Amino acid sequence: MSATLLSVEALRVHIPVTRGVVLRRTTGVVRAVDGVTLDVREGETLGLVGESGSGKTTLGRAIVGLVPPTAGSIRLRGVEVSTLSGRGARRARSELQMVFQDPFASLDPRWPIARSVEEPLRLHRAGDRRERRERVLELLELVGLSRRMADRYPHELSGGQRQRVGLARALALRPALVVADEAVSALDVSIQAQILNLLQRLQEELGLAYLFIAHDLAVVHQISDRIAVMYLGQIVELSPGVDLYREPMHPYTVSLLSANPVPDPSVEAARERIVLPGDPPSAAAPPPGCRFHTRCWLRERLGDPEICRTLEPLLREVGPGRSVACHFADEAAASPVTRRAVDLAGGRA
Amino acid sequence: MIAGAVRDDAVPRRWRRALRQTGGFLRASRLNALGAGIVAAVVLLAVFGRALAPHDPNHLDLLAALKPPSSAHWFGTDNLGRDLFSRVLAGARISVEVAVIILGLSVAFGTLLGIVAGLVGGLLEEIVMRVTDLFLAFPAFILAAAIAATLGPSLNHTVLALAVVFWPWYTRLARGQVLALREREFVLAARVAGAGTMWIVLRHLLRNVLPIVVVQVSLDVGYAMLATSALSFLGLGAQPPTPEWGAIITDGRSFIQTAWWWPTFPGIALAVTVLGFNLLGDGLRDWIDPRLRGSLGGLQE
Amino acid sequence: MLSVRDLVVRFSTGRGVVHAVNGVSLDVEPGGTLGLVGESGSGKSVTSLAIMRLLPRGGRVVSGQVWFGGRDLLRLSAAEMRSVRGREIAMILQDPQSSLNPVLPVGEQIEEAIRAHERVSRPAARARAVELLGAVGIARPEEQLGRFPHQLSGGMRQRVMIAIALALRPTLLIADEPTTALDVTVQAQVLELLRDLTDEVGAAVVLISHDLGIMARMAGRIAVMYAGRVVESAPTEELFARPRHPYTVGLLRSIPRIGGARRALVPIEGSPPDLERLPEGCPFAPRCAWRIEACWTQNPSLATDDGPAHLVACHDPAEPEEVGPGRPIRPGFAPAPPPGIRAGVA
Ligand SMILES: Nc1ncnc2c1ncn2[C@@H]1O[C@H](COP(=O)(O)OP(=O)(O)OP(=O)(O)O)[C@@H](O)[C@H]1O
Ligand SMILES: Nc1ncnc2c1ncn2[C@@H]1O[C@H](COP(=O)(O)OP(=O)(O)OP(=O)(O)O)[C@@H](O)[C@H]1O
Ligand code: SF4
Ligand SMILES: [Mg+2]
Ligand SMILES: [Mg+2]
Repeated sequence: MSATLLSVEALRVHIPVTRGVVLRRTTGVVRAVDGVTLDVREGETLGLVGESGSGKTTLGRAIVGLVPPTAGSIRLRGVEVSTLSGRGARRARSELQMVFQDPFASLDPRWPIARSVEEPLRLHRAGDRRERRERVLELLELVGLSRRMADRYPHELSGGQRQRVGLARALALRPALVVADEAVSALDVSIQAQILNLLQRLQEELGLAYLFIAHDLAVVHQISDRIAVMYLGQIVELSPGVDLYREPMHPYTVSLLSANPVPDPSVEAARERIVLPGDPPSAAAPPPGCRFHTRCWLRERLGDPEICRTLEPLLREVGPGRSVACHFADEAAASPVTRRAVDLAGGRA
Repeated sequence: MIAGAVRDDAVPRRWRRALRQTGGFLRASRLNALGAGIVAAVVLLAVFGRALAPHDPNHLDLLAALKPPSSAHWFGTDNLGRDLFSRVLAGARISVEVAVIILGLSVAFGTLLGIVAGLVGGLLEEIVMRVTDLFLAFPAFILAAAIAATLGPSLNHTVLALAVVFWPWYTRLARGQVLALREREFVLAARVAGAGTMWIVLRHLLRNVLPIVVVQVSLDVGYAMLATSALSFLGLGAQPPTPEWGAIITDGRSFIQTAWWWPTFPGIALAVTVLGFNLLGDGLRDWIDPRLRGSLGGLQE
Repeated sequence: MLSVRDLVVRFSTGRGVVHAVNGVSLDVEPGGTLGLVGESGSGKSVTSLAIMRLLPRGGRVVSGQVWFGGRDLLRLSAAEMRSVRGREIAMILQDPQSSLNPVLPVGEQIEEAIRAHERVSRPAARARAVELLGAVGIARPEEQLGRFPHQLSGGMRQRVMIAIALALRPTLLIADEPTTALDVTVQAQVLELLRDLTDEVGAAVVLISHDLGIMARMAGRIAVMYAGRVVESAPTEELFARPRHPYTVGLLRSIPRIGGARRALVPIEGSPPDLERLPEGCPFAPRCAWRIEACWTQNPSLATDDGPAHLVACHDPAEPEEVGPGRPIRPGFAPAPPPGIRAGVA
């Protein structure tokens, strides 16, 4: 097992919500990330999936320093980065880079792409003009773009090509960790496959680690060593990818698997999706006890045990490298509902 | 080697692009070309008008008073015998100067304030936006007239009054753009790369806000000239003998029966100039819009 | 219900003419869902924008018809078209970022959409907005109405767009990548909403997506587009079981799957053709492992194959046993074009 690169501990990001036009007042805080602890090891890919609005983007942005944490720590090779400021912070953060989702929005439309890739180098005063230019061309080649494209503008490139540019920019400062926030979600499947292969190749060549955020469970499965599942600002399950898909232990993970579309019409026709009843709870006022209890299918099947509503389940280790935050993880893993969801998600009708 | 080759190519490429785009703009609509032509003519006349003018615009020649258009005086003369053609040419310069100053002041102030308000947010943004609301609540022309009247009749005061009226529009425009751009991922990407606020404002936001501001400016130039002339017409702006178009029209107004040419020619000059800038601005706005809103934005029928 | 015939759309740009859509025909029945898949840039969005008559600047329909409710939409006046849009045909645009106004609260934007077509009071429109946001799975909609787009997560923004499209219960809904930013449970919820629309109201849906899983779930029929043409069209089951066009085969090979051991993905080699200089032959030929000499010289037309419902445009379609990984070994494989023929790769 390789060394820990990044360790996030008890991280909270609370965003005040303001309302009112003349007198702005804070009407509450959104607990976008509410106590997340996780490690990323050197050279590994940690997948991050979870419900829309569960705080995946916010977590990724906090790691690269785009949003200030409210509490908790983010350490890179043991050095706290969230409280650094000035030059030290800049140097530390250059090791933490990000690739964004939208290939249309992530490049300045008025800059030739070489300039976008060069921007981090200029900001860090790396080399003179000529050296930087040479490095930019190298980076473009690294991500599979021809040097001749260097002076094109973003609108002259396809979505897949732009995503490669975004990746080249993220690699400019030789980061140790790249946060990829839905970096392939907007791409069509054959280009998605190219980019996934590229990410894997770069990982082998450069020893990069990824925090790979996505919705498509199959894509996450393809690229991740371990996968973390988020619900309402917290991690509810974290396992090696194979285990997570073969033997999910949190009821929310099971419902994700049951909803994941499978490219096979006969499986889809046989599908019974687990419908999560009710509304997703507010991140401003999370439910007491288990955050998932208001929508948990297992709790109902177990006859509504009181503990789910009163005691918050902590993320606990349940096997080698496997953690889950549910009082009834074993029951969840053994449930026929789970078996069925796993079979269908794996394409067995 | 290759790096050098690519870099040498970069500059002409940018120029070629600019040229191609200009060509595309002019060809996109006949009105675009007309607007651009008029504006170019007005600007040229403003720069070279004095040199071209056959007479000194303020030279009195009472013997030649109130002469109709002729080969010696193309636009005729006024009651003091001044050559109206020369005065209209000189007026072009005044109108252009006035417009440049008004818009220069209001754009510089308004845009920067808007960008900062949009980027910083919070209380500052709140205050700035309420103040602009306050200004925008009054009818623009009446506000300008009131300010000019309070300061006392003079061209400089008119310019100041109009700048005061125009800036809030630019603040709103710029803030709206910044709100849209602020969460754009390329701005976030710059921050991840270590960029500070100034870097983002100067290198990303200004460049992306500017085209829209330019469009607005080209629309407003016409209004600024018209408003200056209107204030002069009311006696609040340029004072005699300044050959400002509005002022010439005011002087000539009572002579419309006996010397129709006196108010007519500066009136035509004003109308054509305003039309030219409006056509250019409209064309620019339509043309630039879809590009700014990304691939699927800017839908049209 | 909707019947597109031989649609041709071109863009004039500063540099040349982009042949974005080159003779597309599509049919959707009431209550039916047509899936449109295809490579990025293959003309899916342009086709749907042309149906809505909302082509971006520079684009124009060169020929073709769009029959909807007994009328050719391309011949309606602008005013008639405006009343069709939103009320009868609604569209969810691909790019939610640029379709929401950043300076208006989302509630106001939904109300506006309702009031643009129906004479209802503000409070009534507001109530409808709340109801719609609830229907697309946004919790506590009253709270969200006053929020600005940047205060919502990506998925919430997308659902606001969907709420706007559903506001007027359209009879045809064109949904361009409606769920790309949604997690799978919300995605399932939204897809069910679309299904209700078809089942209960009898509306027709054109669903554009590159997620073949979604297609498998939703579409009754799938049309595969490449370089501005439909290259294969078949009932969903049939298409997945017996893909015939080599591009479709490549598509199915490049998707990751959960079941079984992880294997390397096989992306389709090469890049799509330059739409400004389309080749004479089949536009897929340069990337195709099945190409024969005819592929370089003649562009195959869409014709029936394997029964009347299965259409394919290919000189040498793939056989079922060739769908698995590996290169097909065929007599007559022609790696390069014959002399004098342009290969037409970008
Ligand atoms: N600037 C903001 N102001 C108010 N609330 C915010 C802001 N940014 C994020 N939030 C809230 O924080 C929560 C987490 O948002 P985040 O974008 O991290 O979710 P996500 O997991 O990335 O969702 P998605 O999968 O939809 O992208 C959401 O409830 C969102 O509404
Ligand atoms: N405004 C425009 N000017 C010029 N060409 C355009 C314009 N809009 C689209 N095109 C071109 O038309 C072709 C089809 O584009 P379209 O957006 O329909 O692709 P798509 O199939 O929707 O792709 P994606 O899956 O990426 O959304 C592309 O090659 C594109 O470059
Ligand atoms: S703790 Fe209870 S409510 Fe929470 S996931 Fe487990 S069973 Fe469901
Ligand atoms: Mg997100
Ligand atoms: Mg599209």
